[in-house]
Amino acid sequence: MSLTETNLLEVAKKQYFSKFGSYSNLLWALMVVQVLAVLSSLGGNGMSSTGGQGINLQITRYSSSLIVMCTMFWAIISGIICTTTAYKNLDFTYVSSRLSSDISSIGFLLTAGFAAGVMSSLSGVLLRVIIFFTVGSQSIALGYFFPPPQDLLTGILSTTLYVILMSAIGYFVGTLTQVSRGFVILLPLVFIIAVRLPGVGAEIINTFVKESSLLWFAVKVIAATAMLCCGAMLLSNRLEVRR
Amino acid sequence: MRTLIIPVLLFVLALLVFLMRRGAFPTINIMNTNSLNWVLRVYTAVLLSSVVVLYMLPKQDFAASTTYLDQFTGIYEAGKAGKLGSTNGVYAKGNWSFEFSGSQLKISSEYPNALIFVQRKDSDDGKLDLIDYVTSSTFDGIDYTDKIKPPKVALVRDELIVKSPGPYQVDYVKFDKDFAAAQFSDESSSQPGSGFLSGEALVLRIPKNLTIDNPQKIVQFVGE
Repeated sequence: MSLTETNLLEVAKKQYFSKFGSYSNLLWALMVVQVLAVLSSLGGNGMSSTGGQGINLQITRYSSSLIVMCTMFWAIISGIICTTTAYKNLDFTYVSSRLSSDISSIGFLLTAGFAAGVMSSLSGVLLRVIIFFTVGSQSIALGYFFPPPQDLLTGILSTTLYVILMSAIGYFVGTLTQVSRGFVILLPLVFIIAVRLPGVGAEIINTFVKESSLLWFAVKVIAATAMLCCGAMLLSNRLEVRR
Repeated sequence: MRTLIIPVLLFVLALLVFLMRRGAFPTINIMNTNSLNWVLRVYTAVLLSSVVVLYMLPKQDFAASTTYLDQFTGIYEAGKAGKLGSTNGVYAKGNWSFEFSGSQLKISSEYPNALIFVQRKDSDDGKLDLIDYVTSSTFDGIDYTDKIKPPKVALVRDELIVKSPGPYQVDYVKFDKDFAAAQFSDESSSQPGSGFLSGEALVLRIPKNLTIDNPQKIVQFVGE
């Protein structure tokens, strides 16, 4: 390992730890988003009803899907925010390069993504506890109220992987918009066209959402995240050290 | 409220991005880092303790959730054979007993959901005994048989009147896996809206020599 590489890693490490202070607003935003998602989930995520013989039966369905979706949304926005000039400039309080800044930002996003995934799944548990004390056990279906620990763990892992993937997408998109402002208009257009048109867009999404093996899903997410991060670092290197 | 949350979140986050792009956010200190750390610690502690609280909650008294229905569709056959009381998947929801000294009983029903079976006793004991039976009922994987109300029954002079229990509301809460966890689950959760409505029958046991007036032709005699 050369002296330059050692310095790069040391600087990246210092920047990584300093980001938990300087980027703390993102963690604050995560908490606010999750609390809002839990509050909005209190009304239920769906409803089904039936009637007959005088009875009008109504079932309010709950899940932590909204919390997971909001956390994923937070992740993509956080990824973009980490590439903004204002946030990048915080890195240059150290003698650093684009590469060390990228490594530390990606490290921060991975760590925050892991924390967000865990917190997202645990928010679903908090939702259950709140519903128990507000509705009462007699009106709650036992079924999936107590998720088995292995299901809770699967939920934590899969949510964490989704959140990390969203962070990487956000970071890549953010870096693209730093390279050229034209991408701010171009990327949403490409996204809308890809989603609307059957073919490549749907294929890419289905690669992740239709995967039923957690192991393969993890492999795909890690590979995609690595590609997006490497892509972002390569693009970032094209930018001047401080614009 | 729920339908508004996504647009509101989008608006708040778009506003945040706009502020970030303007470079305003790093200088905005909602709280100092120390206070923020404390709030995050408290939030994390609440989340972690909710796991402990959840698994310590008593598991009794929850609504029965089932993927298997103790289904019994032959309520008519069991009623005709006089075996409703001893048939699996059939539950008694109510019973009534009336003193009756007349020689003729008129039966009228404003509750067409329930079949009415009449069974003669071996003796003239001067009593009308009525039992309401229902079969298992599920909806969205929830067994709500316990919540079914029996009909209203009244003996007015020489007439036994059966009425609907009237409209009543039963509410349940059900938790599903979130999509991220459900993706890797082999179990298929119950389809919303799937279920079985209860079958219902009343068994009226009458004194041996009582005559039944059955103008609505709603009564089935057991063993006759």
